[in-house]
Amino acid sequence: MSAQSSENSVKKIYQTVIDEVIDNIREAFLDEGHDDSLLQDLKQMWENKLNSSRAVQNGDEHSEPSLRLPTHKEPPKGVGQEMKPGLDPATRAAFQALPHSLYSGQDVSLKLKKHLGAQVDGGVDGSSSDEDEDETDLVGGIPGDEDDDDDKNDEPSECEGKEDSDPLNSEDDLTEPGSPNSNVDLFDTEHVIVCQYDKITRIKNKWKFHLKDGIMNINGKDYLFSKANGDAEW
Amino acid sequence: MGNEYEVYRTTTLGLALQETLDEFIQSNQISDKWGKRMFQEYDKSISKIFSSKVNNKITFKSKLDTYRNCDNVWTLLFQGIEITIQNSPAIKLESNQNVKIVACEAKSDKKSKNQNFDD
Repeated sequence: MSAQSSENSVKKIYQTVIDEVIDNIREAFLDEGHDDSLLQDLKQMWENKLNSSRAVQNGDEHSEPSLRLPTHKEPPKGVGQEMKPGLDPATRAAFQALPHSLYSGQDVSLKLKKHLGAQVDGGVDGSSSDEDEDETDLVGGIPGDEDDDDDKNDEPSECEGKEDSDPLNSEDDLTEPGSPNSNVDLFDTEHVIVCQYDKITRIKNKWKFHLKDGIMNINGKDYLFSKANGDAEW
Repeated sequence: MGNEYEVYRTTTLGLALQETLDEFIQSNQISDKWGKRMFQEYDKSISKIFSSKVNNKITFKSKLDTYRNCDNVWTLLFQGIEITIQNSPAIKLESNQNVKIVACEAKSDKKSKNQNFDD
């Protein structure tokens, strides 16, 4: 099945990266007096973590949830404290997005939404200055909040709740433990695409995206692309 | 030089590296500086891999919920998405599922970006 073969090629690509990184660091590592076996251990652990996090695909997701959820309870550890100072804003943004896409979506969505709101305080560029004032509103509030008035209106009662805490998270509440949808949690509902953009344009509310060199994590699986073109309506 | 974005550190591979390095650093097997260096190597390698090993185009269609552009980094939140991938089944997410995109400005190391000078 082509899905599986693209999965395999993703693994191969990752393995290539691992090999290259290890090889490139080896000389300096050894020069500093470190043992090559240490480097081997490091490489091995890296590979193991990679394999245990996403390679158990194609039906195996249910069998080892514990493997994927050891740090389920401690999202802040992975997100806040391990980040070295001086990370560029992209990484910061992406870190908030994808700390535990491998694990559960719920806590992540919660923290993500809070961070999305808190992170940008005034740096929003003039993306849509003509008709909508949403840009400014985006800055102060939680994204999605303001949009409900214009576009969605499908869940007005959710709107109220949205203004308080966990606004966006309330929509994602498929992940209540014990609910029939709780295993959705294990399928990491946090889908993320990390990439570069060649061009992003907009005419009224029709957006066009020209992206490249991306890594997507969707439904727990990784996909890579060299070019992505897309349309979206806002 | 040029395309070493740190943004790929939050991918599966990058996170696996992060966890590995954390363990080694916490157990004092390597110093923090090695962690940084490894990540720099990682950034370089992952960026290069696209031009050498990845060559597929995808298209997608979605509904944009929110957008932000800060320091030339776009953060987009989509609701649902339909992705068409060459030689692979399409991926479809319903609109109750959010997809977050973080995109840095692409820099071409060899030539200037003609797209931006599009008149």
